[in-house]
Amino acid sequence: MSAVAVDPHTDIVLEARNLVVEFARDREEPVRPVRGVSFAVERARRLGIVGESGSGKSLTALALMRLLPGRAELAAGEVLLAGRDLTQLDERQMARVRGGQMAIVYQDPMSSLNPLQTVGHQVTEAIRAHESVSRHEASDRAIELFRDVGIPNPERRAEDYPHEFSGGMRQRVMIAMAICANPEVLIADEPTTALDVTTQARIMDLLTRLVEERRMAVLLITHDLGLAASFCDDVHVMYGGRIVERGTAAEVFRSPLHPYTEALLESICRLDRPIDEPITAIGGQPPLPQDLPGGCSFHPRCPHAQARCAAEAPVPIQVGDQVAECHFAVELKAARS
Amino acid sequence: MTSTALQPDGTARAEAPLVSVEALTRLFHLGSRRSGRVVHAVDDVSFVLARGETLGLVGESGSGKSTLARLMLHLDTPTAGRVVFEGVDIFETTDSELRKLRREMQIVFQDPFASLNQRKTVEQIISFPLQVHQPSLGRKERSARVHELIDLVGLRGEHARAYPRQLSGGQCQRVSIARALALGPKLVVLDEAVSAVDVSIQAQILNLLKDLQSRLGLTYLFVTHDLAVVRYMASSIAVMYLGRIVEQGSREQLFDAPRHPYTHALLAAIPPPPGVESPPALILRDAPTTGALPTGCRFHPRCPLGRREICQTVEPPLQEVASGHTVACHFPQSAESLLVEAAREPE
Repeated sequence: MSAVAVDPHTDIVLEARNLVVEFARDREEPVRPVRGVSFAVERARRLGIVGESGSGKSLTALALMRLLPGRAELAAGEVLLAGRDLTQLDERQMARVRGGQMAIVYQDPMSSLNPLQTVGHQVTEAIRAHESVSRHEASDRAIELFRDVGIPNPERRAEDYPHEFSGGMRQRVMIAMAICANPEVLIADEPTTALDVTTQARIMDLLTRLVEERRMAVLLITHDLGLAASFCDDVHVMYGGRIVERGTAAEVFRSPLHPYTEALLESICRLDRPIDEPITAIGGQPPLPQDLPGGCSFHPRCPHAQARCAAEAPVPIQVGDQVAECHFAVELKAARS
Repeated sequence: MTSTALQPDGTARAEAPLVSVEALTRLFHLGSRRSGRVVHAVDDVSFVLARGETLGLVGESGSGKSTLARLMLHLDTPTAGRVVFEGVDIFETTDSELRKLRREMQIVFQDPFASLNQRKTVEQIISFPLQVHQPSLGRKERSARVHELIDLVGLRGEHARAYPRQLSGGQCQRVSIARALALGPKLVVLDEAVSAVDVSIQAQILNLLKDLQSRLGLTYLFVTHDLAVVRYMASSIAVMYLGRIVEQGSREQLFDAPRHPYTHALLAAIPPPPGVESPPALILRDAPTTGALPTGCRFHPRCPLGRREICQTVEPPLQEVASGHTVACHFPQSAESLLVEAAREPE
């Protein structure tokens, strides 16, 4: 697949080109949970990568940071951060990028914080890892960051340990740590999935404000279509290790092109849906990378599938500003309108 | 279904509820008893569960909804109060009575992987309750019943010999449901039963649960944090906050005319369906992290009106605002008027 067209007039900060993640290469057929993923994020834009479990969305995020777990490796592809290919850096250079130009916020803040150190100490150390400032100055900066991310009484709370914080407050600490070196790209991997709904709304408000103030590029990894629709400018939908649909959030949700996106939107239990009709569910299960259906990986679950879908993998088809990997994208679009 | 049934002569009569929960309280003491730190996990909660209906129990983490679910099945013992199941107080039974009762009430948990024994096949998992409670059943009859259940929850015959790790999350949740139904229970408690499954699978499971309810006449207690799901599943709904029910009513009352600020906040926090504009946000203040139960109304530290004296000093009782619709708030009102009033509050 060709890389995303790069317009020299745009402000692309991060670009992934044809990423392929493989597991355990000693087998004859390597398992490929990510199979040729390309995208670009611009400064001050928010890109959502939406998918179910096994779609490859989280591995994509980890591949960008070169934090793939043991048995997985980036088998192909480039990660261009401000024009520099991160896959070519040595580990020391990469360590400077992580938390420096590019930072990540994970789903579970408790497992990302050291339980034995105060949060103030941890953020102070993060600042000193990327900049040569005195401990005193770094500590002042940490308190300023805590204030900025909405932690009340930051001077006092900096002395507290992670377990003394609620889930939402812990996630604010993680966000403070992520933005401490003014990253150009913030990756948020299911940042609110472990949080309560009312807390989730406040964390997303915080991220929205920070992105606007600091003009960061954001990559939101989520399974929650509603969250992606309300937070992101652009949305890419992943299925079976590929981006099967891409477009602006408004377009993708208003008139989905790929049958998977369409079915997924139909299957959401919405607040405004009729209560006495069954929900239009997608049959079957999301595929596992080790036994991916041939042809279009969605074809066994697709209501529009034909013989060609099982035989031949679809190439991206552009309709308007949207792109979908479906043989019948054009016909389906016409049939819907 | 409604809670009325036809008499042989064709007239309707009100049926006794399947379960009634009366002033149920469960306190947990932290540290030593003398330290005096107490968590009010469930605090003076009462409701009834009508036969064949679904009661939705909504709350965030720490609201006590899972403790309540466990109490309903006598998986935990209350500090005070009663759970009356078909006229029997489940905490005042002999062991053999309790054993009998257990067949009538079952539970499905959130995490299907964690709640299934990884070393047993699907057939062994589903047949276990039959072995325990119906030992007289022959091996053939038991196997026939297991396959009937597998079919009932939409799995295929070949899944009987599979292990949980060979199944997807959605399929595991179907196994949990089949196991819960093995003894023909009347009450099924669904504790966040669809929260951990994939988006595309959630709809399948919800449809299945509704279908099973109408085919088997099941009564559900549906515990969840997801308001859209509870609206679809439950005909009456109770909202819990820090161990108390703060608002309770029919689905229509709760969604069309909510009155408690916390219910408003929960509704406002849902990202709107794709393509729909968000309503004006109701911003809650941050929850206190001290762990101590707030004085007065337990919601006041987060409530936009919570700086008022009465809210800080007097605990509001559950009061009826419409027939069958109760709210525990000193200033129950619509979201619109709450936003106006909150804007006028002094900082």
